[in-house]
Amino acid sequence: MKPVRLSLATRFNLWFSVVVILLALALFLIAYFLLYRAVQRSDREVVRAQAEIYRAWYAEGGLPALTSRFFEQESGGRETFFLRVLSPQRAALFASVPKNLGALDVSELQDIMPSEAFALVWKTLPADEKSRGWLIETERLPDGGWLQVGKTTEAQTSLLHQFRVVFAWVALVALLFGIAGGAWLTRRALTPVRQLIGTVENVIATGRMNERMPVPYTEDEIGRLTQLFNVMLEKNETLILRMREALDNVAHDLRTPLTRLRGVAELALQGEPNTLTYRDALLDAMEESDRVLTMLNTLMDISEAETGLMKLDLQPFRLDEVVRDAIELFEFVAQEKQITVSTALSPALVVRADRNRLRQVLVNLLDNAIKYSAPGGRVEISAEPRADEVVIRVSDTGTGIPPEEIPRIWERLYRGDKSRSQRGLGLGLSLVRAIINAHGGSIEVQSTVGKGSSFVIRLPKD
Amino acid sequence: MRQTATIERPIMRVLVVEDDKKIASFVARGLKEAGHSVDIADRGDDALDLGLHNHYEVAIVDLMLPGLDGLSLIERWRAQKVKTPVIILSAKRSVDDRIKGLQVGGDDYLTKPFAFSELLARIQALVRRSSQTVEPTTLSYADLTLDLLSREVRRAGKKIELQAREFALLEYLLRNAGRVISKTTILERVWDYNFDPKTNVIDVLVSRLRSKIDRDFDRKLIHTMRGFGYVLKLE
Repeated sequence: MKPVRLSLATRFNLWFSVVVILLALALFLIAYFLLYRAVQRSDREVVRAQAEIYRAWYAEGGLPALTSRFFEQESGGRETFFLRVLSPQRAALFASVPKNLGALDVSELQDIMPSEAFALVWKTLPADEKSRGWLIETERLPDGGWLQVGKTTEAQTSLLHQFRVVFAWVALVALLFGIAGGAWLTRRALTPVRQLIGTVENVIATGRMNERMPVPYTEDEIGRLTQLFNVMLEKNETLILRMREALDNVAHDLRTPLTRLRGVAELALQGEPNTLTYRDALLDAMEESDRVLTMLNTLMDISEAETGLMKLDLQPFRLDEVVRDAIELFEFVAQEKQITVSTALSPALVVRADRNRLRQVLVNLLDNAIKYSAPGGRVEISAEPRADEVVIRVSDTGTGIPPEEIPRIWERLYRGDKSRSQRGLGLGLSLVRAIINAHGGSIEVQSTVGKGSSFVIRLPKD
Repeated sequence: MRQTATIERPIMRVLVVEDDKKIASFVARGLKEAGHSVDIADRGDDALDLGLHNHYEVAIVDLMLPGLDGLSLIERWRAQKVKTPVIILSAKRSVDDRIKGLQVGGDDYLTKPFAFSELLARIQALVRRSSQTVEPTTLSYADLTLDLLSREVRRAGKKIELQAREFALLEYLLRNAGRVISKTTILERVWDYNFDPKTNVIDVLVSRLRSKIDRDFDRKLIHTMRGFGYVLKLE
């Protein structure tokens, strides 16, 4: 198989992966944002609760009560919380930073003091080399001073960091699975297509039409395509076989008259030079070549009709008009032989067929009927509609066909004992049958020696 | 107004476009014998120039040509307002090919192999059509006259009764008096059949016509040309 630069499978897979990545990224962003919000809220709640405690202590006994409890009590939180109290003049009265939690640049907190009592302002100081990140609230105390309580955002940061790490791993694994799964899926889905390509390439390379594809069990589009492709191969194969056969037949059938043609010339040249002999031979040769031409045309017609290549101009028309045309052609011939040609047609019977071809069929059958009838005989063309077909019958009171000859009369170039003395190529009935079959109809003959024959055509009503 | 057709043979300039030397010389010789002057082109592009720079009464064009194929040649001529009537010669006999040939501007279509007499008849018919002479209402040859309006046929003043097909055949033979008419052509012109049913209907028709036209007269007009067909002429 010729490699495709960016195969359908690769493109499917690429698209699939891109979609997976984008989807994962979106999920991560949403989850991260939600987590961040949740962590921040819980941190604020902790700070808030602690600030409430400090405010209560301050309310009970002012700064001394607050500081003494801050240092003495277990719940004072001096190991965890940053605490600063400012006077109404914004002078720091008290400040404590947990000693094992590093530095805190309080200058950042100078300008965030709310003016009204009980108002709250939150400030987040991002982490840098010198200090950890801090979450700090500032509130106004009833005496006009300010209370600032803070907590490191360390827990929050490390949680989000872990989340990112975990997610990165999960995303990596998901992506790998996605790519592998995508590859597997597209491969699986495209296997029949690959087989199709392989088969087609094989057919093109070898010219053999007998290859078939394994049809998948599923009834999906690919299965349908495979089936249809097999049907197409089948049809092509039949067509090619038939055409080959037709070509062989035509070649075979032409050899005889061409041999005769050559024979005529050779015979003339063998004797003494003689203008009259030559003239005769040349005339023979011309007639013979005309015969070859007619034969070739008729054989081509038969082959085209048999292989389904004959173009039929299917139109509805009145059958009686065509029958009248055909009979008119033989008017004088029939008169001369004193043969009565009559019709028994259902009035205004319309058939859908190729008008010229059907006329050709009738002309051929009439020609036979008149040819093989003795003077005084009768020929009748009748037609009647049935449920889903039209039956046309051409009957004569002629010599009839012996039963053993009946199956062979349709063969190309077959001529019965009686017809050998008559003019003709032995192709008429083959052409008749081929044309009728090409119309989807059938033809058969009923015949009794000495009494006559009856050719019955059945044409489908569509 | 009644006009009598005379068997006139105007000298024509004919262009034969055919790359098969044998066929070209066969056609050219026949046309010269009939008194016409002939130019031969064996390439389509040469023929294009010849047709553009000379005036021809008729051109005979093969379809398979080196340089420029026949259909394109006709198309180019028609695009350049060359109105010369064109007879297409082709080995393809399908109806589609015929239609295609006539669509691009061909005026008639003749399938190979063909009889020269057939080609000559077609040329004559084409030139008659394109020169737009007044259609004669009476055709005559020797002492035979055929009136196309009253459908009356007389020989040496004696009235002859003909049936429709006999009349049609005689009319066609008279229009082409002196030229040999093939059976295929008769089937086509008299019955409008374009296939060869391999029957003896034409022989029968001709012998009937002959019995009415010739039997009672010493000078026979209808002759059988073995291998070619029939001709109406004075021996």
